[in-house]
Amino acid sequence: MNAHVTLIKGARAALMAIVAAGALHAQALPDGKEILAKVDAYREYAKSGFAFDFTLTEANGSRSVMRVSLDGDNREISLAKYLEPKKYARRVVLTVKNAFFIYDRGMAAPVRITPREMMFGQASAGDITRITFGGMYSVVSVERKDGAIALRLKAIPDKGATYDLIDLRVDGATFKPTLAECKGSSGTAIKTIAYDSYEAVQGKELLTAFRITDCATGKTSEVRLGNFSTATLPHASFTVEAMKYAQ
Amino acid sequence: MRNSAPVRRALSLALLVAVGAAARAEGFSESVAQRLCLEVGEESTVTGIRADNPTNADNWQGRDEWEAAMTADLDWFLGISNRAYFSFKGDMDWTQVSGERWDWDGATSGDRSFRAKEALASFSLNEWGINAMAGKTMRRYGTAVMMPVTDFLSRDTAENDSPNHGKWMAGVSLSRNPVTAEIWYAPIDSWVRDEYRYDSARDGVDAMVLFDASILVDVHRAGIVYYHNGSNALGAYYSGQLGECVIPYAECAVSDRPLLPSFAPEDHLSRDDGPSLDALLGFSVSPRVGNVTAYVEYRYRSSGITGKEWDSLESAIVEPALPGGYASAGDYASADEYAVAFGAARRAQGAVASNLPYFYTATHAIGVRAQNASSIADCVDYNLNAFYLAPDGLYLKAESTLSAIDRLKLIASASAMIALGDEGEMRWWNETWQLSLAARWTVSTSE
Repeated sequence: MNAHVTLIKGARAALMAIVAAGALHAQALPDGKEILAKVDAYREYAKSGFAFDFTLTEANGSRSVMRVSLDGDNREISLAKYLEPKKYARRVVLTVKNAFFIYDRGMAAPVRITPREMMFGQASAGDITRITFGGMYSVVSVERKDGAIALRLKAIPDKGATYDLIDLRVDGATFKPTLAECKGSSGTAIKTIAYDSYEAVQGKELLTAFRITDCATGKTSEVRLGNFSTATLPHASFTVEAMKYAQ
Repeated sequence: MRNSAPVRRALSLALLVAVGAAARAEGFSESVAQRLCLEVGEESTVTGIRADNPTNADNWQGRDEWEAAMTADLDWFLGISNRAYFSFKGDMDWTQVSGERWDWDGATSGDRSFRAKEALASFSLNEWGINAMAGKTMRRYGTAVMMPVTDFLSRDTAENDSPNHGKWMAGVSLSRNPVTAEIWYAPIDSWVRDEYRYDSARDGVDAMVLFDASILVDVHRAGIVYYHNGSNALGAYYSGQLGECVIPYAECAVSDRPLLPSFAPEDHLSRDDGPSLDALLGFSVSPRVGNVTAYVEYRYRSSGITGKEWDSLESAIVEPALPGGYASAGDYASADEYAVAFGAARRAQGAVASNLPYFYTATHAIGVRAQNASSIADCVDYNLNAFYLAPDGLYLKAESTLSAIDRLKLIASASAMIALGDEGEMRWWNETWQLSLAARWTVSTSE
């Protein structure tokens, strides 16, 4: 009988220990939203609008440079202007949430295109201008794996998210994103994004390089971000009509 | 004139204050940025002349079987502190053709011509979303999906002179996200020659006013247009987005007079001058599989030309005719009198040929287009177009662009204009086919 009681006590203690360990583990892992906020901070040069150079190098060596300006009043709006190659020197792309407009030499007016058409090498417009996950994705699950944190993100409807699902791997200590597997609603892999390089820019550590691989073709594009500045365009410049005069 | 000096001074002062305010935060020289961009091109076109065109029997006009054009497109801007911009945009071409051109007023313009298609200066105070523009330019409003079939075809074809020539005008736009409003004005008597013959019958009768306001909410863009040029037209347009692949779009306009511009003297083509309606429906689709985007578009035009009207126009201009019904050389008292009548008939034909609004006269028209979906940074771009102009016109075009190296584009295109019968617009076109080769070189510098 005593042995039985001892056994029960032991089991109870073990159970308590497991529960306590679990609780301790859960406490050590911040809330999903907090993690996303820390992840997003590596892309956010300033709380207000800002601008940066987006340099894209494709697998075949071709290179293009855009100046991307984010609206200070509404972060879902951005304007990308081509600096290189010269043949696209007049090309401007406006993104308003999930609507895309392009204006180029010879066009009578800016024209509308689908997100599907708005590709920069292997990068979509969303990869360029949607600099944050917070607000567009909800956190479905958070898990710690080998010192890293694995998050499953799901697009919030009507928030302009580029992908339906994202499996995001984040450094457990610094919360720097290291890898994102972007998927369709069925779970089919669309792209992987490997976050390669972080640098201190005016005292703030920012993501400065990443690689995007198209899962269907296996082709990879390399992206470098730089020349960050708070001198973005005025709010009124982010309209379809203003694209004709954007310089 | 005496009163204009204070106005000028006030405007100058306002401009200085605005620029000064823009540059205040930084040193002036540090805040100034400039960019100059120049694109030059050379294009050669070989054309098959339509022999049975009612305005050009046996090619009496001497339409060109080949044409070489040199084009230049200049873009310069000066920016101050990202707050104020001044820019100038110019687009011109210099054309050499195989023969003399028969101009609309009956004069031959020679085998060389220079044309300033656009010369537009604009000043922008971005901080307040205000733009002021003046110069020669073309405005087109609508759904601006890439590309509304009627838009890209009329721009791409060589037959776009009459409806698409720029007009000398001035305008102001005001933007307050998500709304933009724009108004343009062209006086009756411009200080430069007005080449805009959208409605030549009303030329010099009325000033032109164009007002456009649009709003973009989420993926929905809608706008209204008011256009006054002798007549009053009110239009509306919309474009949206379904998922990631489909863009539906529509536009319509009503007018108290025909929306189809008149292109022939009233005694040659008399038409109902009452209200009219235009409507356009279309969509583009970019499937997830394959690098292709397709466009389908339908246009209805209540003021379109009917087969009967084409017949009446043909009989009015095809033979020399004087009051009294004289029609052949033997009916005239002298050879000189016949020559005068003959010349008048030829001028009537030339006027119709040079003012015909190509693509715009059919009551029902359907267009389809296919092109590569990823239009950014592709080495080779292509597009295929087919356009049916009821009841018997068929326009086909294929174009490919090779971005050979940075700065250089090589473009090849082939098109066919097929008249399946003799009731519609297509048999009035001057061409049956065209082959074209072009090269464009871009140079830009900035500081």
